[in-house]
Amino acid sequence: MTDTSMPLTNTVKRIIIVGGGTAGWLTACHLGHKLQQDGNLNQEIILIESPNIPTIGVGEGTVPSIVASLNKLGIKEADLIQCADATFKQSVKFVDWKKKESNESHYYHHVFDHPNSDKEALIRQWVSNKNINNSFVDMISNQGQVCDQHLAPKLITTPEFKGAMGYAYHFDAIKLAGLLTKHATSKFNVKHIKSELVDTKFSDNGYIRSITLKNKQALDADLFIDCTGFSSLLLGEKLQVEFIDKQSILFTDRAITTQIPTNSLLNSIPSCTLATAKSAGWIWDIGLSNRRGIGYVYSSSHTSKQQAQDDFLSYLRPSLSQKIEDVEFREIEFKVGYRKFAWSKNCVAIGLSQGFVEPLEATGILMIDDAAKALCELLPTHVNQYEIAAKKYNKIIRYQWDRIIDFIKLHYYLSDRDDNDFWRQNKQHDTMPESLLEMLTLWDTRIPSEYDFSSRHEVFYRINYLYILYGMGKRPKNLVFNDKQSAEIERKIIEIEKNLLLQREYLFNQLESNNLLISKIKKYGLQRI
Amino acid sequence: MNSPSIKLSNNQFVYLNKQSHGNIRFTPQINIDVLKKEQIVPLVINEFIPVATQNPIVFVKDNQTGQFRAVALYGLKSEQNLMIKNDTWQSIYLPKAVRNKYFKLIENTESAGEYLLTCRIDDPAFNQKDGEPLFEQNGKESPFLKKIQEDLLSYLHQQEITQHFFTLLLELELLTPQSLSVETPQKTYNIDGVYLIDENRLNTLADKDTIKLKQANMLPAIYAHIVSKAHILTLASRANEL
Ligand SMILES: Cc1cc2nc3c(=O)[nH]c(=O)nc-3n(C[C@H](O)[C@H](O)[C@H](O)COP(=O)(O)OP(=O)(O)OC[C@H]3O[C@@H](n4cnc5c(N)ncnc54)[C@H](O)[C@@H]3O)c2cc1C
Repeated sequence: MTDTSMPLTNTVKRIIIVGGGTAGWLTACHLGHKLQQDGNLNQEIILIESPNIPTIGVGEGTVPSIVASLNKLGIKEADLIQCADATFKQSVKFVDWKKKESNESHYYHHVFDHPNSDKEALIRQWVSNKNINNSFVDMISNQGQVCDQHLAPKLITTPEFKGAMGYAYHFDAIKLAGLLTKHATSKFNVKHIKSELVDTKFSDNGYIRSITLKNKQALDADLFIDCTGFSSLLLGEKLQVEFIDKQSILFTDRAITTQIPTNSLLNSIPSCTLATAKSAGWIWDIGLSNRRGIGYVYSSSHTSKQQAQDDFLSYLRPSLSQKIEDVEFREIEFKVGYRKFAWSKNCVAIGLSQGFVEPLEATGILMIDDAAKALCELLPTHVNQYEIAAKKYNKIIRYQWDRIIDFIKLHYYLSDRDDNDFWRQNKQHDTMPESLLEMLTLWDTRIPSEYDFSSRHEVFYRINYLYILYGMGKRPKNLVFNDKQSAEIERKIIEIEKNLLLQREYLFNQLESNNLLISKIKKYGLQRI
Repeated sequence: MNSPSIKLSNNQFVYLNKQSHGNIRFTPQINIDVLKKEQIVPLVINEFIPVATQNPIVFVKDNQTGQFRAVALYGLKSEQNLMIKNDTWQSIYLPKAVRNKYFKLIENTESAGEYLLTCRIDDPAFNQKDGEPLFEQNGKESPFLKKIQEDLLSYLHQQEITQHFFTLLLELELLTPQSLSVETPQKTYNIDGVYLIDENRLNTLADKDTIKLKQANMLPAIYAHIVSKAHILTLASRANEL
């Protein structure tokens, strides 16, 4: 065998993560776990966190991929519930994303249940028959109704991280970071330094050589992971990697947020995120075990700060038990888009430093988790292999951001709301990504296919698109299936529907409410098996 | 779904005191009509050996808490107890949980570690005519009642040891979920929600872990469980005789 590879120099010995938010600590856990699995004792991970610069403190809704990650990392599900006030999330319930018809609110669920392939006949049936009364989600899954009843996705006897249906969590972002800190430092030997980065030194080839901290400590490393939040201190500021702005597609750039304490004995906890459309954006409403986290995400070009506050207050008022003057509000500004490269030289940005789009489908933590996992797999053993690895990494990450943007934009594009320029402009083709327009052109006359989602690194798949498209009532045009008359298919459909109904009865019988299960788990924990 | 579940009783327990219950007598008895419908009965760890000689011992999760419980398996489907024939109990050993149904110790909320005796006073087993007196003429607790308290205290202690047994089993990953499929000439019974000790894993346990089990005195219970599984077939043949 001939050895064609370049000579390997500079083995990776030290990795420094700057930033101790969700991104920093989740990345630390993934990398620490990886080193432990590999039995790699020659590398060390240091996380540097400023004691003065706060974390963003929001980011409390997740998607199901987090379940597998936390399980893999060895975090106990019961600890998540006990220490981070977590509750179960089974869907995003979109309210008022269509114009009100005779004052009736429209809603639909984007549930986490992925129906098996035998439901395909039902999908075809629903798509081709306008006279069906069932909503799309109810036609193929019971999870929408389980959410409407505020039921949990599992039983107290169900092992941790398993469910009767797919689920994710809502949690307290700050407490989660605390839990991850403890885990990373105690289980994976991650060193934690509480100080602020004040200076950066470079090598001749432009690689970061070392950083200096406020406590005067200077540290060199082979890889620097920038988890400094929106400031993107290393990748954006020091390495000057360009920010690609996507506000021309997704207009929102502000959030006004609040937290309202709740009493879990009195208030039931929804097992979905509520996402209610408003005149210049939408409001998230997330129930934790002891409070609600709520925020109005809006476009400052389409409404004034005052109007946004008023709209937010009128949403809150009916459900408030305390005086509105006692509620504290926070304003957050954000930029929509991503860095042109997530990995440049020996620096990788993960988290808000890498990119951000509005949290409509809870893609923040999803991208952190995915980006950290991808880094674990692609990170070479030697520094002079970085350039090749970075090329691959950047391609994947960029692809994922673009697909996320397509998917979020779809929610707006499908809306028939016309109460504000915000909604009207969202449907103008010059605000649409080409890739989304192309797909919609095809789906105008056919059902989305698995082949439309052919990358191994998609973020959202066919089923997610189906829930949104058909939840919004966007059936393909002129679709007639000959198989509609086939008696065999009719029989099959009746059979599947019967099974769904049986399953529904079983679920409604067995499942407890989200808050009852949460309080039981706090008391008894969950079994591993 | 056919997962065995432990039934909760609805009958109210009341605190026993000599003022209200001075004249009450109690006749120990077994409510055959209730027992007849109990597919499983909870066990504590020092009952494993006597039960294992005739009946299978398996592990299930408590529906209300998700905690593991050891139980004697008496039937192949819910509400079936094959150890009762012609209204009589067919096994040598009757678990304490069956006998203890009338009395229960409840921790004193005002002083931790202290227990108060309660009983299901509405049950016909309690009356003013027949049976053992609960209190003596002078108002003191009767020797019978004292014995009951002692038994219950020791039962409580055994329950704690049983929980520790599960803590160790889980820590060493010795439990494994298993669907039991029991064939009789007429029918195949499927029982879900059952957990057994993984014998393979037990046999390949690191020495230090085996020593842990030995020092905690858990080995007899583990082997009693393993031996007892053979009696699933005994149940099958009883079902066949029905
Ligand atoms: C309004 C809003 C709503 C959101 N909702 C969701 C949601 O529902 N679901 C979801 O998944 N995501 C959501 N997100 C995104 C989510 O909040 C973030 O992805 C996540 O919190 C990760 O943040 P981070 O760790 O990248 O940054 P941050 O939390 O900002 O952490 C930055 C860290 O860097 C440290 N730091 C900064 N500068 C220095 C320095 N010089 N030296 C040392 N340390 C430094 C800080 O101390 C801090 O620890 C939301 C975001 C916003 C803005």
